Amino acid sequence: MRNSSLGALELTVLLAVSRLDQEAYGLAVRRDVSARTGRDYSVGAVYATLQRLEEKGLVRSHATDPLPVRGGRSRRLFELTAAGRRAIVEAQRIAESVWAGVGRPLRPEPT
Amino acid sequence: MIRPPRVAEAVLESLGAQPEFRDDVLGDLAEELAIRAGWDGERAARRWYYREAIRVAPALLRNWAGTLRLRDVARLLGVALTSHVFAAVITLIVLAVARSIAGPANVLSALQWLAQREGLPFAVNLAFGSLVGIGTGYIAGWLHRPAPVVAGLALGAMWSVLGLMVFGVLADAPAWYVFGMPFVTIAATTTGGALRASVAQRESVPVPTTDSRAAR
Repeated sequence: MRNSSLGALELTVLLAVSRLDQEAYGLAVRRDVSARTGRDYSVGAVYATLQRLEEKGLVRSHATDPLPVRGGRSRRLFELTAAGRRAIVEAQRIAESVWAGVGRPLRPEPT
Repeated sequence: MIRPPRVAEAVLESLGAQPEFRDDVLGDLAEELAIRAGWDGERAARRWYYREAIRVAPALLRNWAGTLRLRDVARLLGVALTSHVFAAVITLIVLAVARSIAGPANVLSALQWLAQREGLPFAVNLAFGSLVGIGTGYIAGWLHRPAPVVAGLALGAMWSVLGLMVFGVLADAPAWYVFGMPFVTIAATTTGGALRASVAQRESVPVPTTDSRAAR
């Protein structure tokens, strides 16, 4: 593992891979992430993130058989590694710790 | 089944990204194009593809840049220089033919007219420069088959640096010209590279489908 620190998009994509389980490939991950964050991420941004996660050892991938719908190209399916699972648990722990003590609902300041 | 727009796909393929990354991205684009064609119609789906191609190009270029080694840079520089020499040789041949037809004095005066630039309307100057850039970018793309667009880009960058040195430092050119020129140069040479990519894809064998790959 080169670097275990996770950026916001990296964590979002990692969670999407976890949720999608056997169906986690670029297009499905992009749709999941875009639907949940309300932001339209480009295919390139998602694959660049998946590639970084793979370099960090948090996900691994394998290619399917080529598919006609993809112009004869394969799908690359991603799955979490043990390190990826640990990273999610750690990120959740940190998030809970950071949010702890924020008692009342936060509302924007009136302008 | 709808196929991705040929030129857009050819340009994306020629941005020099790693084959694995490139195929993942282009495969997703092709798959979503088919889905969108079913929902919104082919026309809207193609429009989406062009938009997405523009959004995805920087990621493919970043992927290419991330794998760049010194020898790749040297090779690109070599391609840029060679295409420059090619263009110069072609220009000399054209001039020699023109001299033999129109006479040396006429060609010389035409060259002076071109070199003075001030006598030329801006649009003619721009069109002439762009045509030369597109033509030479095409040659660069032809010389660097794995990534024709990148070759055009490299040529444009090389010309821009040389142009900035010549016009920006040595000459008394206006600032808008000095700083605008690199954008026009790079756009023209990259267009030439993209043209070459599109022609190369037309000449190449279509991407094999599942069945044909399995048969091999």
